Amino acid sequence: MKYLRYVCLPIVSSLIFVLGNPPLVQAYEDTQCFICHTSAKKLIEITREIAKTRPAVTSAETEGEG
Amino acid sequence: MEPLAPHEKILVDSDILEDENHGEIACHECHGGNPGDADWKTAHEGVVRDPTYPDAAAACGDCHDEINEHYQKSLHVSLRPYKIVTDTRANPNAVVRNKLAGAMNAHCFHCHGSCGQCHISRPNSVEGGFLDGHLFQKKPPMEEVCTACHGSRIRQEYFGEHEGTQPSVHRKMDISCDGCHAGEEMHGDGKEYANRFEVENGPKCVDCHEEIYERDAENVITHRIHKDKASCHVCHSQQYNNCSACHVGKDKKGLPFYKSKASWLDFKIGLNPLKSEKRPEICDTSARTHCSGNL
Repeated sequence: MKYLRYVCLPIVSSLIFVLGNPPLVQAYEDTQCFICHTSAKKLIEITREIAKTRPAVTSAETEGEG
Repeated sequence: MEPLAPHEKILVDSDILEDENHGEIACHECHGGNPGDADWKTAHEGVVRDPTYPDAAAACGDCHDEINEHYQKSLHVSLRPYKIVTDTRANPNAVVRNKLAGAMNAHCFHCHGSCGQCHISRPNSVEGGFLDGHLFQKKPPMEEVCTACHGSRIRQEYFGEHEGTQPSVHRKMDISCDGCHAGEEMHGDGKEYANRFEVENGPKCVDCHEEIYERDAENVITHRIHKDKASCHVCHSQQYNNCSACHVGKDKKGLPFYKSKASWLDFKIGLNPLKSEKRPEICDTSARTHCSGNL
């Protein structure tokens, strides 16, 4: 009985926990958000593309200390 | 503060997966958007840049429930003192008030704190950008968060960058803002304060320097004579930056602009207009300065 309680039970419990709860990180490590936002190369390309089309957001009339 | 390149502002450090608390939350759970879309334009449809402002409840509230309960009344979020002061001074005419409200919404209220703009990125008012690859910072770094906004009137004084001034003794001891202004103060305590001087859990010099009135303390006679008569800053301070005349408007393209006159160094001692149990002194400096240089 002691063998069952101290050896088998923890092993079975661990297996149920691991198999029943696959790591969440795996779920979004593969998302497009994570793929692009962890790649400097991709972000450089995209931000350059955005910069070409986005108008200025700061007025040229600003003067003095902020 | 070094500006970040556009891509650096949004480059996520994959170490976030190791964050046992936040690393299990998928990007779109807070930011929205379409995580399965390979086209970045459509993938970003509906994306929220800062999901913690104006309401952080959905993004942070489930776990940080105590902070979530109070943070809306934090002065960094509510900016209530600005509104009170301008309402007190402005012409009561409804048309003027309406224009003032528009101007404040277009300009002044852009500078505010949020969970994300302290613990994840630089504030929006300095064009944002991750502090460290979207890794959550328990203590916001002083020079990228606090003095990003409080730059011209606190940073330069604290660091002794004005000509003829010296760094604060606290700076010399490498104490950063959070050494005095703890998270409890920043997050608010649920009370609506009219100004920062009223904030009950704000710092007081005697919190650390509690021995100054004791018999054997250095300069005890001077400290005892001036107790409740003059604030610490009246003696332990130096000139601080003053400014005035900031005019705001919108240009022909509809972009907001401001024009402010140059600031100047000055040091003024006056009667304390906001005497309270916490601030009983008769005299105070007109601004709480951050430059006690033990002059």
